[in-house]
Amino acid sequence: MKHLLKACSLFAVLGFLASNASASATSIETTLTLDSDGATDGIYGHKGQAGTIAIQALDGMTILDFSLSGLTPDSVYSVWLLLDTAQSPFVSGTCPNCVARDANTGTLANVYGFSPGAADNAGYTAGNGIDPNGFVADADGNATFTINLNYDIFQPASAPLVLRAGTTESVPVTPMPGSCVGLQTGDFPAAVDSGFMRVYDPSIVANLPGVSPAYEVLDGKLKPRLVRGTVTGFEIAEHFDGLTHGHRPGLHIGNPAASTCGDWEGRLNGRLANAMR
Amino acid sequence: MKHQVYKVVTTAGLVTVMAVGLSASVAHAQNRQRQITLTAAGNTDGPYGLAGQAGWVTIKASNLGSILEFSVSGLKPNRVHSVWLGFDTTSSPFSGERPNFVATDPQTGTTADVYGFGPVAADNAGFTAGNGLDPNGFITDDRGSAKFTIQLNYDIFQPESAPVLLRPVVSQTVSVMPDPNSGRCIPADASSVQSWIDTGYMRVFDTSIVADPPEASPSFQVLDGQVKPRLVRGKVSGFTVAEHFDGVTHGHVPGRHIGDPAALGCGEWEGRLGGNLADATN
Repeated sequence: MKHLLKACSLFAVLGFLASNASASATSIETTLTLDSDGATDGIYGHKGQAGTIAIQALDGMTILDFSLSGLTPDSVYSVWLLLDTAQSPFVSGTCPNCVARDANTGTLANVYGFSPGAADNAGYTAGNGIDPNGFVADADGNATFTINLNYDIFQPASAPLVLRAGTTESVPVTPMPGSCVGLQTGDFPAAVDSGFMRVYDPSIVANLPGVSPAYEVLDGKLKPRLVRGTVTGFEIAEHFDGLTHGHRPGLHIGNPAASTCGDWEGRLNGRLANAMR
Repeated sequence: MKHQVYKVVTTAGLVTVMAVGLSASVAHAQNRQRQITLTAAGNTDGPYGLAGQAGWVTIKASNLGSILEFSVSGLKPNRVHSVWLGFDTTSSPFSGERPNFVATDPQTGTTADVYGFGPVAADNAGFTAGNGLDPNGFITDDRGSAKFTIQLNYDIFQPESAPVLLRPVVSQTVSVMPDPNSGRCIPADASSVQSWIDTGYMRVFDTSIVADPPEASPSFQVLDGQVKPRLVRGKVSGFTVAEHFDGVTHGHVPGRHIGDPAALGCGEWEGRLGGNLADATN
C-alpha cells in the first residue's frame, strides 16, 4: 500500500515540478482546521474525527500536508475539493445536477460541484489500486500524507471540473430502509470513474489542416486545456466499499437514488475561507 | 524545494526498483517467450493515410505477468500513439455483435455494455485520460520510430486475462460535424459530436456476500485484496497500434475512430499496425 501511495505521488510531484516553469510569484502559507462531518450515528455513523491541512501555495502550485485522526482504522479515504458552483463556469442554479459551460464554444456539459484533490495530470486507477487523491488510515485511525497540486487553489478557476456522465454497470441490488439488499435482478448503477471537462475551439485550424478533430485546445504537448472552477473547501470521504472510484467518489449514502446502497460518507470538511494565515 | 526534489528522487528510485524487481521476477519465472510481427494497418492514402510502417513485439510471459517489448518504425515522426489489445469476442465473457458487445458478470449474471478491446497496460496502472501520456501511450522519435516496454500484471496468453472495458464512456459534446461533401470535420452551430475521453474496467459483484458494515454497505464488489477489485476479464487475441491525430491519448479508450459512422472526419485516431497473438512465433 505504501508503494502504491508513493508511486501515485510520483506523478503528482512530477506534475508539480513540471508546472514550476510557468510560475507566478504569489506565496501563501496557511493552516485549515477540519470539522467533523457526516452521519454521527446509525450504521454509517462516526464520531471523534479531527484534522488539519497545512496549505502552501507557491508559484502556481499547492502543497497540502494533511494530519488526520479519529478515523476508522485501516479504512480507505479520499480527498475532494469543493467548488464555488455560484461562479462561472457553472451555470447558475443548476446544482446539484451541475452544468458547466465551455467558454470557447458555449456548449454545456453535466459536471460535478467537486473535484479530486490531486494534480490535474495525476494517473487514476479508478480503484484498481489507490487513486492519487486517496489514502488509507493506519491501525489507529490516523493518517499523515502530502498531496501536491500543479495549480494554486487560492486562484479563481484553478481546479479542473469533472464530467458527471460517469461510467457505470448495473448491479442487482436495491436500497431498502436500513440495508442494501441483493436481488436476482436489478438495475442499480455502480459509479466507477469519469474524466475532466476539456476546452474546445472549433475556430482553430486543426492538424491535419481541416480534417483532424484537434479542436481540443492544447496548452502544451499532452496538455489539453481544462474547464476549471474556484475552490471553496475540502471534503474527506470514507469509502465503505474499500475502494476509491477514480475521478469521482462513487455514490453518496445521501443520494436519494443510492441511500443504503451508497458507498461513501463525508467525515471531515473545511472551508478555504476559514484557513488561518 | 529541496524537499520536493528529494521526494522525486527517492520515489523515482522506488518505482525503478519496483519495475526492475517485477522485470526480474517475470524473467525468472518466465516460461514463454514469443514474438509477433506487426503489419501495417489502416488507411494508406488520403489525409489519414500512411504506408511503410512496420514493427514487432517480443512477449515474455509467466504466471507473474507479461513483459512486452515493442519496436516500431515508419510511423509519423513526433506523434502520439497508443497500444491496444483486441479480445476474442467469441468466447466468455463476451456476447453480442460488434460494435455492441456485452459481457456477463460471472457472479451475478448481469450484463454490461463493453468494448472488444482494452488498453495494453497493467490493470492497476494510473490513467491520466490524456492529461499527460497514458500508460499505453508512446511518442515516436524524429524518424517515426519507437522502442518501449510495457509490463502487464497478467499473462496475456491465458484465457480471461485482460480486464474488460465498460462501453458507456465519459463525453462532452463538441460543436463540430463531418462535412457531408468533403468528409472533413468542420465547425457547426449545433453540438453534434461526442468527444470520448475515458471509461473504466468492468467489475465483478456478488450480491450474496455480507457487506461491511453488515447489510448496509454496497460492498457487493468482490475484492481480491485491499484496493483490488476483481475485474471481468477476456481472452487476448492481438494488438493494434493507434495514431492520435489530436495529439492526446484518451484514457482507457482511444477516442473516436475515423471509421466510426458517427464520427468520420471528426474521428481522431487510426490504426497503424496490428498483429495476432495466434501468429506469435518462438
